[in-house]
Amino acid sequence: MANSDVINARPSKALFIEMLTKDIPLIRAILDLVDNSVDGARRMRSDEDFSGLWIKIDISKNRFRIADNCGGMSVATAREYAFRFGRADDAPETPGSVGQFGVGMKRAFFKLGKFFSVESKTKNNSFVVEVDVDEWEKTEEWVFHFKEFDEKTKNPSDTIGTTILVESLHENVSENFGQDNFRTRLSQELATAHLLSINKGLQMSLNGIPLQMRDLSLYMSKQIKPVLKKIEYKVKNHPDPVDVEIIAGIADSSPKDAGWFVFCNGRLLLERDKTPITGWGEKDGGKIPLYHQQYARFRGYVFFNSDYAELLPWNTTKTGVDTDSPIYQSVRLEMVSIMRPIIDFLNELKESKGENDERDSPLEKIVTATKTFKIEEIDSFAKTFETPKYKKTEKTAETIPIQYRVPKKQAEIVKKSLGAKSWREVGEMTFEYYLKQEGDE
Amino acid sequence: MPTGSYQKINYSLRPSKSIERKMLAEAMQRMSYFGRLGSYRYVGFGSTYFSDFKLFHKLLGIKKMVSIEEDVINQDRFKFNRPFSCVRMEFGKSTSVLPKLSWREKNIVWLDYDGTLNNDVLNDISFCCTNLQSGSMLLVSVNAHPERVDNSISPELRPEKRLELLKQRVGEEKVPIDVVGANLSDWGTAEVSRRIILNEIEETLLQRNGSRKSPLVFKQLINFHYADGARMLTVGGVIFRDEQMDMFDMCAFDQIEFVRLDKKPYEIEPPNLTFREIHYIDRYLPNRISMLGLDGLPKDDVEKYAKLYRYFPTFSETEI
Repeated sequence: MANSDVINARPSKALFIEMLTKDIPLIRAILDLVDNSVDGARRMRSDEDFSGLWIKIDISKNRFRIADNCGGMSVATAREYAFRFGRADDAPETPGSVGQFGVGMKRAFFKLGKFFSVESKTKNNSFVVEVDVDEWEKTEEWVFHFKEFDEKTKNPSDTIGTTILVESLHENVSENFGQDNFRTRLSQELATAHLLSINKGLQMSLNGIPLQMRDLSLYMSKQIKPVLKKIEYKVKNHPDPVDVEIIAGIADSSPKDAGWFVFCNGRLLLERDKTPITGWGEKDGGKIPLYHQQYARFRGYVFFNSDYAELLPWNTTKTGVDTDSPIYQSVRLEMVSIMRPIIDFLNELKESKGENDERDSPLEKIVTATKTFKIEEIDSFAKTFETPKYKKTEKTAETIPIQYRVPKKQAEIVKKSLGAKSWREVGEMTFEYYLKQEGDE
Repeated sequence: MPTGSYQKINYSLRPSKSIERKMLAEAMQRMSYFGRLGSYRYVGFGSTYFSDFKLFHKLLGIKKMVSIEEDVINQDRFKFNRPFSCVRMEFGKSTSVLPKLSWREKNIVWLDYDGTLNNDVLNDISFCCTNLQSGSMLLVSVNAHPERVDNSISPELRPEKRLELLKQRVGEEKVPIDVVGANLSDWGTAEVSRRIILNEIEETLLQRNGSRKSPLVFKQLINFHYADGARMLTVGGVIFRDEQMDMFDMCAFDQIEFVRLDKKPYEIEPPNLTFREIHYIDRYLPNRISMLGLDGLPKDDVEKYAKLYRYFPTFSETEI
């Protein structure tokens, strides 16, 4: 071999076991396993009514377990595709799937621990795979072995599904799983990442506690109408298009919740994003300003859907969008132009409050009186954001704000004596009192 | 502006608080296996009364003391009331004062808040757990009265509202997923507050430890419930390296009757007795109490008194 022109480039198992796992946070690795279950649900119900389907996740210091009744995996799929490292070219397409890179499941196993088992049942297939990772690393071959499998069985319908177990957890994983705060964070991230599926009836629980529903909502009234824009992207060499829906508008002022939410095939990728990735604070051209407190009412939702998951703009850890994706770049331009009138309106809203007077501008009154709706309940969208037509008040020129500080103790006494409900009322009532006593001449 | 409870209450006259202080001092005395108590620093919120500072200085011999005072307006008054020259005053919110202190020595820190658990409190706890040396004690007191919910909200919706308010105060990500609104009534708010505090301690220590060879651990010793008006919670314990477990064992904290290592609280319930009654009962304590003739004394109060007579404030201790 010494004179051969062959250079060894064989991958080592350690690359997969120790290196790839460094690229993904623990919670995201778990989300990858959940994504597989959700894909199962999507395969079963193309109408996306997931009622009756469930995914149960249980974590403790000693083990990780995820079980679902989302259709199971056939022996053939397991044998040929599911356990391969990287997606095979001839792998059958799962329409509208979330998983697509063929790394998520294995990477998650290695991230979590040293032993895993996968048990799956379809209508007439059953199999069990058990892997001791240390033992596997020592072997030369790139194969796993079925512990048992059967391709001609009849499984009762209530046993169909997949159960994954990981044991001999890594020390840091075990420590995290033992923490209340970690479980709370995991529960929140799961609920957020799959909020669309949960809202469509998919039941998900962590340690027996159902995940909370999270709604996407916006203000809607006769005067304030959110925008909806649907775009169909036809892609070269692909029979099916990518469908994009952009919905944007305003809601309660909350810096925590404001920003863009980006979904791919129902899976949340970006949450409350206020960065240049979603069009904020462009340096050149300056189309949209940097995020600022006055934009805390802004909400935008973008939904990418395609039967061909590889067309969608996600990165391999599904922690964000692939900003180089041509489709995403094009959609981003749309997002910026949809955002513009909303940002203008929020600027106007801020100006209408005047310099010192914090409340009660007529425009503010209209906005705060507007009702919130879940986006699926909204029946009248506009092509561009519709804002209230209101008369700019003449009053602002005729009134002036007065501001002063007094000792709190004394102020409290005066407030009580006046029966005032706010400090503002204390000011107004004492002023009126003076006018009444002294006359207005 | 200052709204400290010192303006309303003289701390040294609140019996439960005074009992608590003496119990804490007794637990602190056992810390000497970790290091000479005189070498410790005490950090607390002394208010204008400095009751904790007086007790810990006199009883434990601690000479390095820092009192954090939020009320920056009346600085002169606090300085005037400083009981000993070794008490250093630091003015400002604890969140901004704690990072300014040096954390090289062993500490006993008592974060004795007037208010309810909130994000600032958790930040202080996290800061302490990031900086306290092995062999330090951390105590946290918070008001744990069930949140008063607006009367306009119908009674069946109040538990949910209470949970929502808790999430607003501490952050949604800090409220354990199994906690529901109904868990927050009565002493429930105290129980949940304790869990959130311990979670913060545990999480911070886990991060601080990284994968270090000798990780720091926290052992809870104190889990007091008492009501001086509002329901109050004090939770605390010792932070040390797990290789020092033998020192911790030597302290024998578990032999102290008010020490609680788990979620079951020790309830401080001061009795209502006259001084004549107290002196009478004293003659039968500690081990002849069964021979005491009640003579019209309320049995319940006698039992309460017998439980904590060693810590019960007597009149002569009141400030003159």
